[in-house]
Amino acid sequence: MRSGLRARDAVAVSYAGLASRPGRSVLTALGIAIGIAAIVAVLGITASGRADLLATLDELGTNLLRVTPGQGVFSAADELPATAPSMLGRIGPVRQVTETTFVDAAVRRNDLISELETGGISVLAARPGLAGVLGATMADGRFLDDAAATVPAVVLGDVAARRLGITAFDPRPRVFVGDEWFTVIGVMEPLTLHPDLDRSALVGYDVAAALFDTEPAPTTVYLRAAPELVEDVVGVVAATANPENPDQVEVTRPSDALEARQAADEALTVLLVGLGGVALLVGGVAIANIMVMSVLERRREIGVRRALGATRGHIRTQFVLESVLLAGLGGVVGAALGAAITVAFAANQDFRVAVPLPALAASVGAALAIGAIAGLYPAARAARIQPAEAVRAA
Amino acid sequence: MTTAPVVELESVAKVYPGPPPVRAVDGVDLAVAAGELVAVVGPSGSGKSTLLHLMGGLDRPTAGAVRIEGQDIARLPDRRLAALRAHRIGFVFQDFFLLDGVTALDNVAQGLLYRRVPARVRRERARTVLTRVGLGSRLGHVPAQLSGGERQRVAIARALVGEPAFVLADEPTGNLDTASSDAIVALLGELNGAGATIVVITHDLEVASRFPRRVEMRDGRITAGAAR
Repeated sequence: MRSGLRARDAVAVSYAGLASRPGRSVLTALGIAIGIAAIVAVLGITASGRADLLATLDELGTNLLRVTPGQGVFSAADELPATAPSMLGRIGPVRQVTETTFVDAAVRRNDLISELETGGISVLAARPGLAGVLGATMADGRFLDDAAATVPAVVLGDVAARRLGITAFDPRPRVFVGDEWFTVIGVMEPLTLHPDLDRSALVGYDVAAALFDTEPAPTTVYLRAAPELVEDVVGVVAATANPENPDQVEVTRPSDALEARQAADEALTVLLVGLGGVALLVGGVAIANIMVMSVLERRREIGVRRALGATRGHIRTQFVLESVLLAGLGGVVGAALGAAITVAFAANQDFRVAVPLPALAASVGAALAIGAIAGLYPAARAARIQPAEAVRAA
Repeated sequence: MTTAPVVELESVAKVYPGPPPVRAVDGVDLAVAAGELVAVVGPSGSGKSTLLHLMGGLDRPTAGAVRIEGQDIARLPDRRLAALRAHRIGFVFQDFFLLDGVTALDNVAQGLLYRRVPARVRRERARTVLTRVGLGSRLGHVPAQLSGGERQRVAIARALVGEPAFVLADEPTGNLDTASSDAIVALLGELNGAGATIVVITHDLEVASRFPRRVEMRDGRITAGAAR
């Protein structure tokens, strides 16, 4: 002869306890739901952002180096030696080299606009190979080629095109560069790693030399190295580009900036997840609080159950399970909400959706654990209630 | 009668501590045999409820021995005592203590909840007992849809569904009008006639007068009816 409660009945009893006070149960579970939703959403959005960034990095490559004249100890240079591109091209692991040179001219919509209103757009001489080295794609038209390099043709960056009001490509628009009309032959898509080129108007070296006396000495050299040897190449670039004054050469790796931004995002993520954790903790305390209240209100029910043969353990289990179910409800709703927020955000930002399933499972698990812990004290109180006192008529 | 008592109290005392200590039950000797229908009658505060809690193993005596089917409950751990309540004892309370929002059928089925009986079997047996107490047509009603007398019948059915050795009823007619009260007393008599052992606590002398055996209590002591 034993007193026992089937597992399924135990769950049913606890569920009935919650279902008999639906409003209160939902409000109590809300705290946990908000905490879980916040954590899942933060993790989901970061993961989506990271997936997107990794894809971007993959696409752009991390083997691109940008070489510019740097601040020397005694002097500052405006340009690199004219020999720099060919010298850099001779470094073994360097696969592609191209350069741009600043052109001293303003670009305007037409000749009626003052030459002083450059709109922040710089004019650069560029080689046809630039698009290939940078991985630039065209929004419209084509890039500079050998033919276009000798005639007044210009390719605009994304921002430059918008500032100049170039929207339609038929008929071919013209812009005023320096004192000459140039035909816009193409507009580039935005370049993630090269915001400076987005604000540029690119012309061929030959036409720049002919019209604006531009020297061939580059202001920026771009090079692609073998991915596994990038670090080694960085070490020798300065001395190769400017053997006389290697300290006047600055080498940057544009993809580093993205990675740094990502690191900053991750620090923020830790902070936000921490805040979500606090919300969870508060939710747990709220559950414990409500459960204590519930135990006080349900003395009679506890007395009747004891009279029907429930052991202290059964009563304890009932209240712990109620608490776990309550938190679990919050956890599941919160996880669903967080996943929905992630999907909506990713869709809005055109990110790849990456809902972190392990985080989803872990957060529901955490909610259940919090429920169990929150339920321990109220359940212990419920189990301690003397049956004879509990059934005494009020 | 030669049958062994289902519940037996020997010099039982229950003292509630704290100034001043209250001797709710004070030196009670009482035995109830299988098949009996007993009324414990006395004014409020005479210790009847405490006596009933002791007989049902809801409480332990301060002194003396309470034996339920021969087992001294003072020596039983909580688990064993709970098992005894689950299998051998049925309780009926003055305020019914039914679960709100739960049908009569499921309320009665709760009487078997702590015996690991499958839900289907619990319901089946609850239906049988509810029909026996005259509520066969009220299975799906929740307590709020039932009259006081009907609710008490549901509570009695819940106490009986496990076929306990005896049923303890604490003022089962205390909250009922005269007609319902008479019907409940008649029902208890009928169930006793069918073999159930029932101990009823009441302060109502008129109700008590209709039971074959009356135990009178005053100030924690039995003043009449201790011996059969």
